Amino acid sequence: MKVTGTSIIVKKLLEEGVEYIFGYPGGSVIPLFDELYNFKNRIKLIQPRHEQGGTHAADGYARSTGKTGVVVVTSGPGATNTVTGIATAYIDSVPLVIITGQVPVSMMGSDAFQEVDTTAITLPITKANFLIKNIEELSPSLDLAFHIAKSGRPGPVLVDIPSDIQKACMDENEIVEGDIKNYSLNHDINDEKIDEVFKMLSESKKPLIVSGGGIITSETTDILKKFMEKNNIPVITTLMGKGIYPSKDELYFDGLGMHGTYYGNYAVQNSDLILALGVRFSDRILGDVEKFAPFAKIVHVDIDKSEIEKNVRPTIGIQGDVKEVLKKFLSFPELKTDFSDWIKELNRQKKKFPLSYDKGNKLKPQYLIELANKYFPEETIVVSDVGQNQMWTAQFYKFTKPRTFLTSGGLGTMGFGLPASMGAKVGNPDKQVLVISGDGGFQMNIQELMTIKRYDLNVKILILDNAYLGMVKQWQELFYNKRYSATPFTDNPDFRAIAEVIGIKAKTLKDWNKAEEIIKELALSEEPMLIHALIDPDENVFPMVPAGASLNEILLK
Amino acid sequence: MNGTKRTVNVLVYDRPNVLIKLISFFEKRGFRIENINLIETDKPGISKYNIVISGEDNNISKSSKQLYKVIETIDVNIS
Repeated sequence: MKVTGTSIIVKKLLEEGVEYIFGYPGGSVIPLFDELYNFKNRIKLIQPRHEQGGTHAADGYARSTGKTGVVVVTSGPGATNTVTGIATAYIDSVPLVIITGQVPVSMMGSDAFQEVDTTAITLPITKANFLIKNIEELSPSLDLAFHIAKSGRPGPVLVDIPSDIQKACMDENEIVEGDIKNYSLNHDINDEKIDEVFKMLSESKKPLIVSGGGIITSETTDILKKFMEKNNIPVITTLMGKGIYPSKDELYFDGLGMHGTYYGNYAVQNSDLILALGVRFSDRILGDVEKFAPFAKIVHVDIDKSEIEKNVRPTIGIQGDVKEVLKKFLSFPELKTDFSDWIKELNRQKKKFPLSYDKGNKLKPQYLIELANKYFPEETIVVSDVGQNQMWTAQFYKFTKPRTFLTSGGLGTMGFGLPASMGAKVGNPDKQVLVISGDGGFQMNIQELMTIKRYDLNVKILILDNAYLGMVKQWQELFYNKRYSATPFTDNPDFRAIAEVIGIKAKTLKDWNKAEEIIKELALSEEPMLIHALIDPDENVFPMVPAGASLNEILLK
Repeated sequence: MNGTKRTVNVLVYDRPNVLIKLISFFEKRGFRIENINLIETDKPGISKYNIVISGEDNNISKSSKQLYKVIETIDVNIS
């Protein structure tokens, strides 16, 4: 039987269990959208108002569910509009499959209407990409795309499909499977290394687990918790690792790095053994590499071989699935050493320099986040944008479960929050989804309010409006003589009015003594709701380690 | 750029764009590519690139490990 390119694509989507696609049509994907029309009850379309929003939405879907997010867009501008979203997903290891239309094969290279070299543009920001030049390659390439996106260290994979290939036919019996064995995962987990780690741990007096997004990706939180509690080892997390471990627990010491906590950074700088699990040692957590963890031996476990020895030189590097490694750690014999003095020492630091802010009688962003934390249920998925709002959320919202904090950690993409929250809601209809955004980032994808309205996605939106691009302003204040070049946003519109015009319930919040009531209303609202909070513009994010400084040189205010 | 010359041998699965990925890998990190040879291996679908690059010796060995970021990479050797 003859089958068309588009039916091959849709069949593959169904095989992969794809329930939602985030898609926007255009000339080169009309055939594919036509085929999707036949399956609209099985594969639901979420159509954003801009392809960038759609890509972040697919990303939010993937981060919150662990499933692969699927994006379908047209050639040319459709494809280039996804680039920021793809790069965001790539650096944060989020599995996406992006299907882009392309001009017909015969016209490629002729600067045809809406033609760009999509695979060339996306080469450095995808795990792999495919340009399909004949229909026989289509099915095996899609097999590979879905496999590669999800396997090992996840990431985005793009498949560029010319419109004539979508319309072409082939014999169904001639479809071959993609050869995924070429992309199976290597590892170098061996008993020798595991024994060595045990030896180091038994000799250690001040061990510390630094855990990151890899623990969430590999769904290893339970094993990590067992391992920690069995051996009484304290833990801190990177930004991407928030939610790995219940924040309220006494072994948890928050974050490290530029906007980590004093005590989190103290732990790193005084530890004698760091077990770094599923982290990539980003410059934002390292500060000055030469002065990072000066007393510590480092065991670095990551699934991506290229991360080992990239930014720090570990005493032992283990490439492999952190779940498999932690299972081995879990079977360590009983330790003779006791780390309670170390934990007491850390708790003393925590008491001495806790995360804090001056409440005063102004509307403080940290207060709003604490209130949100109080009134939203524990399973709430919190999505931040980028900048001060992101750091305050990371510091003051106490996450207790994995996949409940979605943030653009690596790329720092302003405009991520609102669309990512849509994807999170699509994937988690039974959970509350709260976006905490700044005024700048909110306006970068503000058009997606329309998508929230169209699909009636019950997303709660909290805009912390300080009338500045706050994080840049903070740097200007501290390091550039208060020369606020290009950061004032004093002409921000009335976001309440905009939301209301679109048909989304909204309120303005100006007074701190109204905050509790309004945040409570936000949490309880049964429809999407937006709060435009006019916060104290002078509030900054502290503690702060200036860029490139050692983690010891932490500014507390 | 002056500095040490080293040969990086990379075993890869043949796929479109592998060569571009390898070149941009070194360019991005500031190495100068002096020479590239492509050698077919006896296994179908697997090729070997011998890439002569110059730059700081330390950086070459450190960076070359990151070649595994190119997912077609099977093995890397520096000589």
